[in-house]
Amino acid sequence: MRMPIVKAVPVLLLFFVLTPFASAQTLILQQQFIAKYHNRATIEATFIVDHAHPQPNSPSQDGDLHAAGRSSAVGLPMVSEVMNAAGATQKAIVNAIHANEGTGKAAPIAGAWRIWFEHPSKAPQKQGANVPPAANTDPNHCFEIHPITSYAGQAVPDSLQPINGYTPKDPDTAFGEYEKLSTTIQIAANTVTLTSKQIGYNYVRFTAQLAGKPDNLDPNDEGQTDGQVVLANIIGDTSDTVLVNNLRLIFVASTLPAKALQSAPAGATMQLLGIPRVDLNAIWTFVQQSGTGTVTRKLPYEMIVVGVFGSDGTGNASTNNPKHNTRHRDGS
Amino acid sequence: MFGLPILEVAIGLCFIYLLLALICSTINETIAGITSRRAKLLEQGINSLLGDNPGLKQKLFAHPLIASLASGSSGPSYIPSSKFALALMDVVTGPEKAPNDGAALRAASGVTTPGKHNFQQTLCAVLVDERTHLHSDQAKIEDWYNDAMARVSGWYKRNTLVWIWALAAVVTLALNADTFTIFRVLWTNQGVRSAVVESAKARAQAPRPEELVPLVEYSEQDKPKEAASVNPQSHAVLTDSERAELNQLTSWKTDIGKWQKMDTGPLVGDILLHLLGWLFTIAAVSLGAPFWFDMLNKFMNVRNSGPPTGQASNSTPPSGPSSNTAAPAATPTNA
Repeated sequence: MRMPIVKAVPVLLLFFVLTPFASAQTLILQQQFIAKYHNRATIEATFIVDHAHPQPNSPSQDGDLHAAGRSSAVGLPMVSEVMNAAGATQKAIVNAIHANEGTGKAAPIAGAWRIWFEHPSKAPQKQGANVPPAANTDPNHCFEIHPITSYAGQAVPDSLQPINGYTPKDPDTAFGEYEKLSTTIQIAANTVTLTSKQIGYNYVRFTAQLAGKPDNLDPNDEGQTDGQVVLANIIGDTSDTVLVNNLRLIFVASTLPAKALQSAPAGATMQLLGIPRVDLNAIWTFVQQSGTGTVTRKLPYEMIVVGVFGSDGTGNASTNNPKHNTRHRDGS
Repeated sequence: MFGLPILEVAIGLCFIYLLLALICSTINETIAGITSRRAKLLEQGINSLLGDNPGLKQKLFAHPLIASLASGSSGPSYIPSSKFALALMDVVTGPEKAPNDGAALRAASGVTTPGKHNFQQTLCAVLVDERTHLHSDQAKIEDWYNDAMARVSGWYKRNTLVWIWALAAVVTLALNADTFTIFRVLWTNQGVRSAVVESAKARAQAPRPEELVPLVEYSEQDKPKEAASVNPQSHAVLTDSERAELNQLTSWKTDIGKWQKMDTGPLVGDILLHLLGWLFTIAAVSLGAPFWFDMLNKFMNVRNSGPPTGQASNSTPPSGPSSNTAAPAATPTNA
């Protein structure tokens, strides 16, 4: 039977509208997950290690140890990473990961949650769908626990520090790329679908001028504050201009960067090492105020601070007074 | 002169052209996505780089560095120069050699045995480029690739322009958006003109078309957990009131009714006049939404800088609202 043209036209239009989304790099998140984690630095979960690097990456690569696996609390293909994994104090956690690799054993894990379109899948990834065991150490994923702060009872808060032998990305290039990113956000009753292009630029060294007071993030599952957040202006290297205004910086509790923040005076400038992640607070705020629908906007992001540089380039905390003569991009 | 009806008619025309251009650019983006237009032009650009070497192109696109950039069944729509250079070096040097093995790269490219293949000749010339900033083979290939991508960008712009013209024609005819009719209605109907100017005010305060707008703003620096949404309701291309204004000014109903009652001579004359009006609209819409957005803001600023309408000259027909609060497009800078 032939479909009447009046019925066929809307069907065709729907097909044409939906086709681009079907082939894009797409992540479908549950709203309850966003509601829970939008103002948390970390996630606490259990993690099954399917595959792990036998050795940490060389320092020139980034010094991380990757472990691909699954977590019921996350419900997405994921990778967890230990920073400065070759360090002596990280030996126990690396051993624990290797001991559990491929056994199917779920061990407790904590660390900074991270959503970023660095290793996207061609097929949409839906949170809560069945996640098969990872086939290798680097499956297609948009979710990470990076850096890990504890695994199987082994805590490594001091692994969050600059990586000796690694050259971080420069802020002008990295933030220039972040600022160009767009995302299409489709808000449904229970889910939020993010579609975005692939982006990398991990481990950026940057100068942050604190713009406001730090605030405690939401309590974790144990009722403890898992970190602090502060708004900062990001200052470029080459041009000494403000690259980004009022960017959220996330400091994980009990780490060296968090301690440096506590001792930083108001308006201080800090030399930091950071990893970008999607700003779920921005998405959650928008979801609550906009209702269902689809928009294309700048990809909201924030930085997880994973190291503080001293004036000698070490991981020693360093803060300066706010008298940093900077120029904004608009010349002000 | 401020508050003159002619100024409000100009605002109305800018506003209608802006709405039509927004419709065209949305349709254009949708079609470009469906047809992988950008990916196809990129492939053409790479074809021009690799010359008469289809096997090499196939290997390059199958290289993990490039293949990982593809989405769905289409090829990548963008390849960073560093990835292109690394993948090409890897493919050219082969699996036995490191991609940055200069000797292997030169041997494979024909620098040591010049000239039997178009691509080899080109790569040979690229690798002997001795400009100071091109300090490595990878930088030389990246520079070569970036030059080619500048050409691809030009192709894409020209291609988009053709599409926009075609879509402007389709949308103009589909809606019967005749510039002369729109002008006449705006000039003679104060109610419509006032409503259009009100909608135009709201549109002029929205972000500039094609500008990436953030989801939220963190405006209170001591409250990093509190954000304010930016335009949370702007899901649709046009708002309900904008659609209503467009429907009032562009419709086939009136003309069809009128034409049914007309004799052949006047009918042909009227259609020819419409044809001219459509051509005006098509040409205007093809200038693009950002152009009309800027024009709209300029007219709004002129209108705002004058005295309230009530103090303006009493030229007929009477003018619409006395003032507005139009502001330049918001340009939030936070992430």
